[in-house]
This record gives sequence, structure tokens and C-alpha cells, in this order.
Amino acid sequence: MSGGSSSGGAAAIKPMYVLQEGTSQHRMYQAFGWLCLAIPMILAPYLLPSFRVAQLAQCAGWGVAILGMNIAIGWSGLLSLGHIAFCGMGAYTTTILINENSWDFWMTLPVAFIVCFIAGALVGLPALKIKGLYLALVTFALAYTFPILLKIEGGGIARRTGGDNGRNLEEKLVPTETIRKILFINGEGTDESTRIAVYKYVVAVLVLLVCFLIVRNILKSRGGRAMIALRDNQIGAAVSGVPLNKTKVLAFALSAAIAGIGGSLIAMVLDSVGPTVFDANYAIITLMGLVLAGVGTLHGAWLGGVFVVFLQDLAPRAVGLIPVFNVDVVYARAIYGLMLVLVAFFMPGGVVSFGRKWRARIVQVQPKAPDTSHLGKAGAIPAPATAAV
Amino acid sequence: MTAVTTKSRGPFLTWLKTGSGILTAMMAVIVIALIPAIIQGGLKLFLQRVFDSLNNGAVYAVTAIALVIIFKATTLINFAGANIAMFGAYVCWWLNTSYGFPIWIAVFVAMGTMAVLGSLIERTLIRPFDVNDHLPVVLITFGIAAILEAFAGGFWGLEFHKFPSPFPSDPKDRFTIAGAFLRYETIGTLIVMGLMIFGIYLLLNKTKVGLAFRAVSSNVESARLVGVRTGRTLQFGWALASALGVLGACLVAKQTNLEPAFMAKLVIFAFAAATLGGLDSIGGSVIGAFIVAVVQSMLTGYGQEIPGLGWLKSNFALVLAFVLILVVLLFKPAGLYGTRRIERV
Repeated sequence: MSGGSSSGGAAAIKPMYVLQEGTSQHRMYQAFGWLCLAIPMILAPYLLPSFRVAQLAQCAGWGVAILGMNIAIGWSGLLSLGHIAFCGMGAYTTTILINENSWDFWMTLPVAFIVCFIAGALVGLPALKIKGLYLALVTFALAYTFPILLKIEGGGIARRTGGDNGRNLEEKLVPTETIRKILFINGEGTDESTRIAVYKYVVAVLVLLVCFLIVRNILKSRGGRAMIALRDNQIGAAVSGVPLNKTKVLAFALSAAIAGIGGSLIAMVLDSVGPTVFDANYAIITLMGLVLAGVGTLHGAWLGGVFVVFLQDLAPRAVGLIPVFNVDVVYARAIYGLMLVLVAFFMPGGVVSFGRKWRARIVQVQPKAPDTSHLGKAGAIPAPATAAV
Repeated sequence: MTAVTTKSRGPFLTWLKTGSGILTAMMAVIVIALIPAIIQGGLKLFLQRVFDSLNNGAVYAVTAIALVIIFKATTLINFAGANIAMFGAYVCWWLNTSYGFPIWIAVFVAMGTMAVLGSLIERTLIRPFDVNDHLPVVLITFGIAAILEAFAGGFWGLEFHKFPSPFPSDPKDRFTIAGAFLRYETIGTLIVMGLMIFGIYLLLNKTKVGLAFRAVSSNVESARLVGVRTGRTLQFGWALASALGVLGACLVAKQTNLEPAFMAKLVIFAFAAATLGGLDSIGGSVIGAFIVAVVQSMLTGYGQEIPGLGWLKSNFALVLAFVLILVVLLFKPAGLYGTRRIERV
């Protein structure tokens, strides 16, 4: 997972440490990396005020959505701008099931997954014929259409989705007694809203972790490799026996399904859904989060949501610091746009790739000598495969 | 090959599969579907709806042509086009209301300004990238769109502004045909669109720069080999497209009023029109624009009376545009009059 990156250019700068993959040092290094991620995540809800914790829970929700987008955009090369619509579908599925059928939140997640998987497959079927920018065009139109579809009055759609106003979740996610004990949120010092915020944060992060592991394993599997091969060279992949159509549709459906889970989480964290959270504006913001964190990088999932949530917080303030403009929230959008342009120019791989480039100066992991007995001849060139993940 | 298909399918079916055939079939379906509505609502109402749609059709056509020109030159779908046009319309409005420029001069100045901006964008932001690598280009056009929208909102406010009409727009300025009103504005818009198409035709077919443009859009590599300065030609394409977009925005701004997102709402229809007509066919996109406009007007007008379609309101036409884009790309990706591209992956 933390595979050696840019093995070609690394020869110029000698890294301070060279680790052999599979040695105990390497495992310690990996464990250290995970701890660096895990410790702040575990401590955050207990140290930060409750509204920050709620924001972090939102980050985790958007992180799942971005993980889903990344499957399509980053690993399968299907340029989709409309995943926000699948997020919305997941969120509305959760809301409607909780409100109308009084389901448990946890039960709605698989349903949201299935609904978005089917919807993704339906939109993804055209992806077989529609390539590149055409797919971007279709999905862009989908992002614009989705908020309007919610307001259709026929068939009780507007009644169920709440139309323009959106809906509040009637049954909020409240921790049970056992969970309170496990999470140490039973103390006297905290009020109920803090406890709920912490619980939501834990739920969102757990779901993000599960999705992360699922996607990581999928990428390592046969299907995931097929996806990446398809992105890198379609004809080459077809010649090597990758079923193009099946892989494309499954990749798109899976990415939609995971984006849908992200949407469910966002609905759960916000306790409400509305057409303004899943419109074309958010399509741009999530796209920005994705490319800023890193297209085609697994660890972008942790960062992407953070960018989505906190840049919306920071951008207006950053604009306020510039004395030329009057402080105006309007200019925040310019910052998102500027980010998109700057990332395309200077950080094509996003923050994660950028960080990897710097990390390569300090620690370099030498990949294990290819084990040809189980990989066959393809194992002779492992570097591109690890770099892609 | 073609002879075999003709023999086995018959000339009629072969014709039906060409662009004109599909177009005729579509028109026939639209007309047949409208017959009951015309009988019920009367000819006057029907004519009124057709006239109402002409204005939209002309505007969609101008906007779609702007998209098509960039697509022809670079095979790039310009997601920033709508907002470049929107910004130009703001510039025009600003010159007119704050500095007292006559409206048409303001329109031309705005077109020139945005043409310069468009060519600058091409030179600085688009050219460094390989167009066949779609993601960075899409990011950049999206980014430009967001920046322009923010700046329009920042400079001129988020509220709606009334846009001065470039044509006589008194309620009394209209013809009456069979009881339906045909406004001078509509006629003016159509005339401007016609002049513009004629101008583009002359520019592309009778001038040296047009020849270079056609060479580049046909094959960049070959054009470069025979000495066409491809970079400058693409820059010219962007400038032309930006100027046309501004013209389209100025023509429609009277009806929609100015606000930072007014073209972004409209551009889906232009996308639908261009996709239907063929993303690399100027004539096709004009036809597509009028079909989209007529169907939109009829569906939103008569839709309420058709049982089960009572939810059709004006902005649900967006759904129609989305479905249209999807269906066309699925079944005839080149559109009615576009050239089929053989994908070399």
C-alpha cells in the first residue's frame, strides 16, 4: 500500500533510509505510518469541540464519496462529473427508509449500496459506448438534472424527498448504553449533543475504514487490476483478456455504490438532506476535493473529505485576507476554481503524490524481488502496478 | 459494402438511418404527437408556442455553435464556455448602464473583450496540456467557469439585473399572424443568428484563417506539417467561440435577466442541441437547437394537459435535455450530421 513511488527518478536523490519490502523494519515503518493516521483520528473527538467533531464526521462521509469517485475517475479512467447524484441517491434512500419505514440507520446502508449500484450500472451502461469527454458531458448533465428530478411531483417523489426544502431525519442516530461505555462518552462533563457528535464521528470513520479496505482489496484483486489496465491502455487490456464491457460497467456501478454510501453517511451526520447539498456546485467541490487529495491514490480518501469540508470554511476567510476585495463569500468559488487550475498545473497527482515525492527523499521502500512462481512473467515489472495504487 | 446494405435493407430503411432520415422521422413523431394537442388547444395557441420557441432556438443555436467550434478545433468540450458568455453579457450590461454605451456597441466591445480573454485562456491554460488526456483539461475548464462565476458575482452582485434589449421590445412591437404574436425581438434574434451563421460560413470557407482552421480541425498533425500555425489557429478558434458565446448570452439576457448562473442553466440545452446535431457540425447543431427549443416549448406548454405528465414545468425541460443527450450518445454518438470518429485508443 505504501509502495515505492517514482522508482525511475529516485536514483538522482539518495534517500536517507532504504527499507527492503517485507523486512521487519518495513513492517515497523508501515505500522508507524498507520499510527500517525490513527492516533489523531482517535484523539480528535475527545479533544476538539463538538462542532469540529461534527465537521470531521462530515469529512469522513465526503471521504467515502470521494473514494467512490476515485474508482471511476482515478482507477478506471471513466471521467464522471456526476457522482454527486449518486451521493444524493444514497442520502435520500437512507432518509426515506428511516423516515417512512422507520428502519435502522445501519440497515439502510446495504440498501443504499444496492440502489446506487443499480443506478450506477444504468448510467454506466452508456459508458460502454460513450467515451472520455462524452461521458463527462452526460454525467455533467446528470449533476444538473438530479436536484430537479427530486422535485418531480408525480409518483410521490416530491413528497418523499421533500422537494425544495429537503427533509430532516426523524430518527437520529443515538448511541446505546453499551456503545457509550465503549467510547467513554458516558462522562458527566459532556452534554448529550457532544456524545452524539462523537458517536456519529466514530460511525462515519468506521464506515470509511471499511470502504477503504474493501476498495484496497478490490484494487489488488483480479478485477481491480483489470480496471487499472483498462485505464492505462484499453486495447492492451482487451488483448490481455480483460472483458472491457463487464469491467467498465462494474467499475462504474461500484464507484456509484460507494459514493452512495458516502451520501448516506452525509445524511446521517447532517441529520437532513436537501437538493442544495447534492447539486452541480457540490459536484465541483467534490471534484476539487478529489483532485486536490490525489486522483488514483487510495489515501486520498482520508484527505479528500477534509478538503471538501474545510475549504468551504477556509476559502471565505482566505478571501477576506486579501485587502483588494471586499470580504465577500462570493469569491470563495473563485478559490475552488483556482485550486482546480493550480492542481492541474502543478500537482497532477494531488497532495498524496506530492507527499510521496518528498517521502521518497527520506525513506525509500525497495520492492521485494518478484516472486515469479505465483505471478508468472508479469511479476518481472512490479513497479508500475505498485505506483498505480 | 454500401451496395450490399442497400440491397438487403432497401433504400428507404437505409435513408432512414442517415441523419436526414432520423431528422424527418423525429419531426414526423413530433407533429403526430402534437395533432391532438393542436385540435384541443387551437391553432393560435400552437403558433404562439412555436413563435415562443424560435427565440430560444436561436439562442441555443448561437451557444451551441460556440461549443461546436471549440470541439471541432480541439475535440474538447468547453465547460467554461457558458460562463465566458455570461461574463461577456455582464461586461455588455455594465458598459451600457454605467458608461452609457449604445447597446450594440457595448455588445461588440464585450465580444471583443471576451475574444481576447478566450484566446488568452487557450494560450496560457489549455495549450500546455495534451487534449487527449481529458482530466486536466476538464478540471481547467471547470476551474475557469467557477472563477468567472465568482468574479461576476463579486463585481456586479448576485441579484438579478435587468438587461437592456438590443431590439425594439415594447409590448406593442409585434406582428400578429393568425392571432398569435410574433415579437420583433424574436425576428431580430433570428436575423442576428442568420447573419452570424453566414459570417461564420464566409470566415471558415473564404478566408485564409478559415482554411487553416478547417485544416487543423481535420487533422492537427498534417496541418502542422504543411506549415499551418496550429497554436494560433486554435487561439483564433477560442476567440471566435468566446465572442459567439457572448453574442448568444446578450441575445437571451433580456428574457432570463442577468445573474451569475444564467448561462450555466441554459448551456445544458446548448449541449443537447450540439449533441443532437453532431458535436462537430455547425449546421447540425443549428437544427438540433431548434428541435430542442420546439420540443421544450411544446412539452412545457402542452405537457400539463397530457395525463401523467402534469409535473412538467419549465425547469423540468432540463430533464428532457439530459435524456436527449443520453439517448443520442447511446444510439447515434456522432449526432445527426456529425462525422463518425474512429476511436484510436
